[in-house]
Order: sequence, then C-alpha cells, then structure tokens
Amino acid sequence: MLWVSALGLVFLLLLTLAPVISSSQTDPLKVLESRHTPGFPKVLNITDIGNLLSVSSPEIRRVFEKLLECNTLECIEGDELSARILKAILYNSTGFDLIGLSNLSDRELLNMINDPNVVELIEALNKKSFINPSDVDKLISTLENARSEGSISPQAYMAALELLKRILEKRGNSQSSTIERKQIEAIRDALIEASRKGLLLELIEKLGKLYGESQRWSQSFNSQRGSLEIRRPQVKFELPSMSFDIVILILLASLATIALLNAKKLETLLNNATKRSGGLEEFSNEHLILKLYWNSVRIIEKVSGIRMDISTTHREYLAKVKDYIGALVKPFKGLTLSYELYRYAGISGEVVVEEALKYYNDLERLRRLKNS
Amino acid sequence: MILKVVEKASNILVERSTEIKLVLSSLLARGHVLLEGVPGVAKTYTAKTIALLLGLTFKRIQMTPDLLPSDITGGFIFDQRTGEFKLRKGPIFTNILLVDEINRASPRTQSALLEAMQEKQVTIEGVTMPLEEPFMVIATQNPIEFEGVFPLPEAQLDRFLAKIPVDYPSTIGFMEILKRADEIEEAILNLNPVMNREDVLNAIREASMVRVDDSIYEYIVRIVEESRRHPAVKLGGSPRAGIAMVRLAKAWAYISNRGYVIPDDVKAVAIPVLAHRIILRPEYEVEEVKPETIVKEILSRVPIPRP
Repeated sequence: MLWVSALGLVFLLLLTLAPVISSSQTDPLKVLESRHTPGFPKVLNITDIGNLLSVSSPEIRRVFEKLLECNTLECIEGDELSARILKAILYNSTGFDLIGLSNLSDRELLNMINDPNVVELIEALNKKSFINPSDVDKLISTLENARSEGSISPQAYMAALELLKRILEKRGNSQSSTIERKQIEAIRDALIEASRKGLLLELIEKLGKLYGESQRWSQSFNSQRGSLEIRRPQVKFELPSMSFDIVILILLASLATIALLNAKKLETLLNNATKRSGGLEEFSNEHLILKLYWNSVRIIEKVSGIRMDISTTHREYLAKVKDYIGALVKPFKGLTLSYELYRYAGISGEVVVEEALKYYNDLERLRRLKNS
Repeated sequence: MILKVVEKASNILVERSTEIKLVLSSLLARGHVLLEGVPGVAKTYTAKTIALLLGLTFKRIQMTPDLLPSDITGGFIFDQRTGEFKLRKGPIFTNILLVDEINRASPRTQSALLEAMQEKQVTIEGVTMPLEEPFMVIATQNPIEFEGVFPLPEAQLDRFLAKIPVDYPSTIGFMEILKRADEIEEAILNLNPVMNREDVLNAIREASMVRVDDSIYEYIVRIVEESRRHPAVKLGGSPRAGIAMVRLAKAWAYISNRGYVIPDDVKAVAIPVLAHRIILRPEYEVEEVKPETIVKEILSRVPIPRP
C-alpha cells in the first residue's frame, strides 16, 4: 500500500512537471546504425548530433571516465556503448572515426598516410626482421614533427601509429604498447583540440543536460590536461511558475493520504523498532539458551554502555565489559559459557539449560538491585 | 598432559606462551611452523624446550648456502670393510627438526627439505623411507636480512601450516629475562620430558576429533574469501589455507582444554595461518602495509556466527 501511495505521489508530481520533460525516447545509436549502407566501410557516419540527445548524462560521463582510465584501445572498445558514443563525438569534433582504424587492412592504412617520409620509414621498418628500438624512436619523432608542423593529418597520424603497432606486434616487440599509449594520447588530444574550437562544448551542451555533470567532466579533463574549457551549458531545467503555497499544500496532502492509508503498517513498524529494547519474545523460534544469552547481552549493553559489534566474539565481549558491570560479571560469564556449550559443542541437556536459567535469573536480580 | 607442557614451557620462556601454544597446536595439527623474528628472541629455545618436554627426538640443522640436500636427507656410503653401500640417515630422520635460518640454504636444498615436509617421506637413490610420526619441522628465519639469503617462494611458504612472528619481549618481560638468564639456560639443560611419543600420538588423534560446528566452518570460509576479495590483496587464501585454519583451530581448542571450536580459536590462528599466504598488491607493499594488518582488518568486520 505504501508503494502504491508513493507511486501516486510521483505520478502527481510528474503530471505537474510534464510540460518541461523532453519527449525524445528512441535509442539514437540504434537509429544511426540502421542508416549504415551494406558494402560500405563500417565507419559510423554521424552528422546529426541532435540524434544523440536521449543518451543519458551518466553514460556520457562513463565515456569520458573510460577514456581517462584506459591505456589501450581494446579497453575502450571493450565497452561497446562507450566506444560508440566516443566514435560519435570524435566524428563530430574531428571529422574522422579515429578509433575504427583497427578494421582496415595494412594497405588501406598506408594509403591514408599523406607524408612520403613517414611512408618510406614505415616500409623500411617493415622489411627488417629485427627492429632496433632506435629505428622506432626515429619514426616516432618524424611522425611527431610532421604532426606538429601540420604536414600530416590527424587520421594519417593515427593510421601511421596503427601500422607501426602492427609491425611491432608481429615481431613481438614490447614497444607496441608505447604506440598504443600514443594512440590514446592522440584521441585525448583530438578531443581537447575540439574543445578549444568549441565543437566538443557544443556537443556536450546538447548531450549533457545537467550543469553539474558537465562541470565534473570538465574537472576530470582539466586534471589530466589542464586546458579543457567547458562553458556553462545553456539548456536549463525550469519549473513552470507555481505558487510556493500550492506546492506545500500538495505535499502535505500527499503525506497525510499516505499516513492514513498505511496506518496499520506504520504501527507494526513502530512496534518492531521498539521491540529491540528487550523481551524474550524476539527469539520465539530459538532455543531457550540463545534467548537467555542474547537478552543478557542487551542487559549488559545497557548497563555497561558498550555495544557488542558483529565481529566481536562472546569471550571478547565478556573481557571488554567485565570491568564495568560489577557483580553482573559472574552470571554473564556463566551465560556466555552455557551459550558456547549449546551453540558450538552441541550440548543442550537439561543441566545446561537449568544452569543458564539460574545465571539469567541471577543477572536480572542483580540488575534490579543495582537499579534500586 | 599437553597442558602441562604448555605450563612448564611458559614458565621457562618469558612471554612466549602464545608462541608455545601455536607451535604445539601445529604439532597436534600435523603441520610445520616457521618462526620469524630477529636474532635473539628465543626462537631456538622455544623449539628446543618443546621438543625436550614432549620426549621426542630432536635434531637441529644450521642452514648455510653450501649445504646439500644429502646433508639433510642422508645418503648411501661405501663401507670398505664389507664392500657394500650402507645408508647413513640424515638429520631429517627425527620427530622434531629445528631448521635454523631456513632462508640461508640454497633453493635446491630448501626444496628437498620442503618436499620431505609435504610427503613425510624421503627418497634416497630410489629407496623411499617414511619419516617417523610425529614429524614436525620448526624453521626459523630472520625477516630483516636480505644479503646472502634465498627467500622462500610463496608456494613453499604455503607448506608451513603457520608462520609465527616472534617479537621482542615487553619491558617487564625483558627485565625478567635479564634476571633469570642463567636460570633459564640451566632449566632447559635439565628439562625432563612430560610426555612420550605415544602420548603425543594420542593427543594428535584426540585433537583431530574436536567438534567444529557448521557455523564455524562458514565463519572460516567467509574469512578466507574476504582475504581474496580485499582490495589490497593480489593473492588471498586458498582452500588449503581454509583447511589449515580448521586444523589449527581444532588443535588450539584442544590445547585450551575444550572439545569444541569457538570463534575465538579461529581468530587466534587466523594471522599465523593466513598472513604468509597473502600476497599484497605492489602499491600497498610500497606503502609498507603488512599482510597481518589485512587479516586483522578482515577479522574486525567478518561477523561471528549468530544468533
């Protein structure tokens, strides 16, 4: 009943807010994929970022977190949704699907490289059976120079790295992991560059509807690069104009309805909460020794002010409280041993039960004496 | 009778009652122990006193890098008078073997010893000979030495039922040691056995019959599983660690004069059983986090059986 009432309240609130809630419902990534023409390379051709509007902000945040935490492309691509969203972002910010290169052949990759020097170096490297680390370093520095001078496009740079990685992997060269890190760096750089141009911001503004979320992405990027600027998004969540008194009245009326409908349940809950203070009825299905012991623990907790933690053993608790409970030590020690005998030695004979009862009565008597 | 051994040994060795109880429990659980501590904290005395009080045969090997496996196991030597090869048994043929500074021996010698510990038998030139029960190795190692030592690999550490840290005594204990140093030495020299081999074998049988409630098994399983899930741990306790914990907890309960295991017994043996089986992640090792701390932390949050 409680849930029904709660749902009613939520429904009421939703009705009030209905005019401002977006109606976009379909999965935009599925829509985008359905546009793929068979026979063409499977590179997501995303031109309309408006289609990504219903991707929730936590998902977008996950993509960014993934990008920051991953050191391999496999790691990013392992998370399908992240990879797809990232591809969309990259396409819109750089005009190229940078991380889809792994599907292309060596020849296709080589054709993409528009710098003859780099092509020559890669081909020379590919002919060698043993690759000297200095050759790799030389190629990397040539690539980096070409990139900084702008003589090589971002996609050509990524293609060259992919090719170099493949060559190194074929020869079991450990430098391939360095190349992969460079690829990740290039993706991050592309995003940061896009952010400088305002392209990424535009996308984030449209994707992340919540201001707080985009601020967090901004912080995580800045901690990595210190240069990403994300402005406050312009899309705001606004309530329709409504008198504050009316809102309060609606809430009070809803609470009163819930309380009336669930009066019985509330009573039971309150009873259960107060039961913990004592009484043997709580262990109605347990053996008498268990009831006696756990009730004695509650008494001792009250007297000593020391609670028994879930990981504290019975003897540890006895040792903890013994200096604070005076004459109650003896019966409580007796009850602890009776409990152990029943619980762990499997002894539940009359003698043990009688002894436990005697200790419990002593404990109660001494407590009353102490209180009086 | 075993309680008498605990009492007598505790009277001789100042502030070593926990270590004595753990070594005796390991013997009753048919395991081996590794005593780890800096030099001069009575590791050797502890082992020697226990062996003498139990009335068992006792031998000692001082490990050095040039020690060969045959120096431990023995070998066949040619007798010129008879013209035959005769078996010369090594020091391993004993009930209690004290292996001093085990990490000084070469890996080859270490593994020969550890194999004998596991199999409880020795094979010399194709002839397999069982070791007499009870057989227990009490190995010692110094945790602060790094030069000229061969640290035991994790798989071999696992063969020790328990690793017992032997710490410095308290200030009061230290003063007592200073006052009684000569008396302690003499007492060890003149020790009379309290038990004999048969009594020890009986005690081993009785300890194995100590009752373990299902809830205690569950408690042990949770502790071992938590050791694997802990974020600081690269490799946690295996099922073998769980078995070791049950055995040692039973023996600990027996030595505490009880026929059943309680959660306190499990807690008492958890660090000696688990700490040397836990491998920490490098980032925690760098921070100097100790496996003992991890086990303590686990024990502080795993609930004891209820109600």
